[in-house]
Formats: sequence, structure tokens, C-alpha cells
Amino acid sequence: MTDTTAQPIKIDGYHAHVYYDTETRPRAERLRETIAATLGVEVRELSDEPRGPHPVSQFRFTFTPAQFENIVP
Amino acid sequence: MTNVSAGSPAVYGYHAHVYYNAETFPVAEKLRETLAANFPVELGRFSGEQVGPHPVPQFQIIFNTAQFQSVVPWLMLNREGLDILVHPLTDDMVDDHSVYALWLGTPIKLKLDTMQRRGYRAELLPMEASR
Repeated sequence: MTDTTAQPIKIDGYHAHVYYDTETRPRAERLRETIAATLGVEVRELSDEPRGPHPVSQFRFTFTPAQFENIVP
Repeated sequence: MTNVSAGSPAVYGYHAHVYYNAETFPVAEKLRETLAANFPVELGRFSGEQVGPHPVPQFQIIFNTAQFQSVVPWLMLNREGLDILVHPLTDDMVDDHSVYALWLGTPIKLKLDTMQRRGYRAELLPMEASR
């Protein structure tokens, strides 16, 4: 299997930030519901206001390294 | 585990395209060497010029679905500023390079009209693709 010593940085988990605007908000809502219902991850509420480094509306979910292969594709 | 693939198209593997220019070519060369030494993936040649939908030089990485979880995080952490397109291999290469595209770095505008809505020749699929 892969030699992971070439990767000295340890990854503790991932965030995905899903961006939307007023036009795409319904799609973001639907995607958020599907994620919450099927992926077994922690999903935050839609944040319409800019927050932290995110200049536009987004919602965030958190997943583990083991979930990467299911969630990212 | 929940079947999260319901409703998604079949994925036969992945390509990653690593873009470079004259200035970043040494960085791309080093990245390709490290990949070759550490991952059992298929590596393409440095294109040196624009090929197909890619408007700038790149080299290609072919890997299977099981390798996604090791290759993609490694590229995230080790791309050294190079822009990389990761895309699935489905039966529609136009969608693969647009709606299904995952970019590390800054997206590059691809020439989508050079492709047809179909799958890939056998040599562009991973050897262990499950069809």
C-alpha cells in the first residue's frame, strides 16, 4: 500500500463549505437536508451572512478522514 | 454505511491533471517523481503544450476509486502552488471536466467544446477499473 511517510502533515478531519446566493439558496437547502439525512456527518445551519473568511452565504459540514472517500466524490 | 451513491453516475476511476508553465516546470517534475515513488498510479507525460480541453501544459495521473482517499488528500497538501483538476471518469467526459470537477488551487477555463459526451478509451481508464 501507499507509503504515507511522504505525507508528514497529519489530517484530523475536513470541513466542506457549500456556498450559495439568493438564487441558489433552495438548492443549498435541499443539499443540506440530503447530507444531514444520508451522510452521518455534523451539518451546520445555513449562514446567510458573511462569516469569518467566507464573504458569501454558506453552510458547513465536518467529516473524518475515513469519510473522505465517500463524501468528496 | 449509508448508500450515498444512490442517484450518482457510475465512476470508473479518476484523472488528476497537474498544470504547469515554464517557470513551474521544475516543481511539477519533482511532484511527478514523488508521486511515482509513493503511489501505484499511472502517470502521463509532461504534455509540453495544450492538449484536448487543457489550454496549458499538464501531466495526467490516472487512479482508481480505492486510491481516491490517499491520492487526493496528498495532492491537497503537496501541490506546491500548482493548480490541479481532479475529475471522475463517468460516461460523459464533458460533465466530468465541468459540473463534476474538483479543483485544487485556481480553476482554469477548459476548452469543453473539444470533447464529446461519451466515456473514455480503455487506456485512459485505470487498469483496475471495475466496469
